[in-house]
Amino acid sequence: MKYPLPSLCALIRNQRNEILIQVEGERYRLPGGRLEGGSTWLESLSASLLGVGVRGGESELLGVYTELEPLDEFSPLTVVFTVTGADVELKPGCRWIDPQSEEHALRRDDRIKCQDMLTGERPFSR
Amino acid sequence: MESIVPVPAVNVAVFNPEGKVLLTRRSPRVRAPGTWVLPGGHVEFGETWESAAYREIEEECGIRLNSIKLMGVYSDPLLTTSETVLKEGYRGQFVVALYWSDDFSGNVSPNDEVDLWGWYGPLELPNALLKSHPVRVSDAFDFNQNPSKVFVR
Repeated sequence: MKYPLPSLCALIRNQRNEILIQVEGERYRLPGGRLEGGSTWLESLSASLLGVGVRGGESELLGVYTELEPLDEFSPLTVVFTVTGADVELKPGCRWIDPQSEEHALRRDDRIKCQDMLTGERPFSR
Repeated sequence: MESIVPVPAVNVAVFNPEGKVLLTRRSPRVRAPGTWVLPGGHVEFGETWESAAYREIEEECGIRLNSIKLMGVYSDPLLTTSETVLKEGYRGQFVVALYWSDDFSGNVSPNDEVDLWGWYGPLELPNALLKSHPVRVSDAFDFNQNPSKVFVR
């Protein structure tokens, strides 16, 4: 593998300002996946989010991130979106959390993204 | 049919004090020779998006950027996928983080990946822009006037 494989993820917020996460053991992660070859960022985002029961909504770029602790060694580069107003049908292994009160269970990289989202500024480049 | 593999890359729209953007023409040493582009290149393992931007501009143009701002991300496969198979055996889809800067040191002194360069205003652009670049250059002039815009394309 000569170049990193870019990934994307989303901070999906509901009206209570909770975010949707996937539970993996004792850790939470933000929904997302790798960018599929031949797709745009937004097409891949929609495809990834369908897998966790999320349809529609308004996507905005939060920023581009370099993961401090990547989920896999080939994908340290992530493009991150915020999604609001989506229809969400919770799938097994997914739940809403308050990103501030349950911050401890988030990966360090995802905590940074949540903190960035809460500032209201954008886009970030990290 | 060859596979299409996304390859992370960066471009930087560097503006001079006259509000003109730096464009470079690709030399015969590199892919798509003779086309005009915003300078940039691949993100390597171990680099951040930003560090790749700083490195590429210094290597390719000989100037040191003092600060940069992210203005958007680009991925449209119709515009960003290589027409030929790369030496790695696949067609690369160059998915780009585009940065803006008007803060740099030094004089432009390109390497051998560039055979011509210049500062261009919006009404004097070269005809032979790389197919992915008309929208990026247009967005860059837009951002230079209105830096609150963010582009996802």
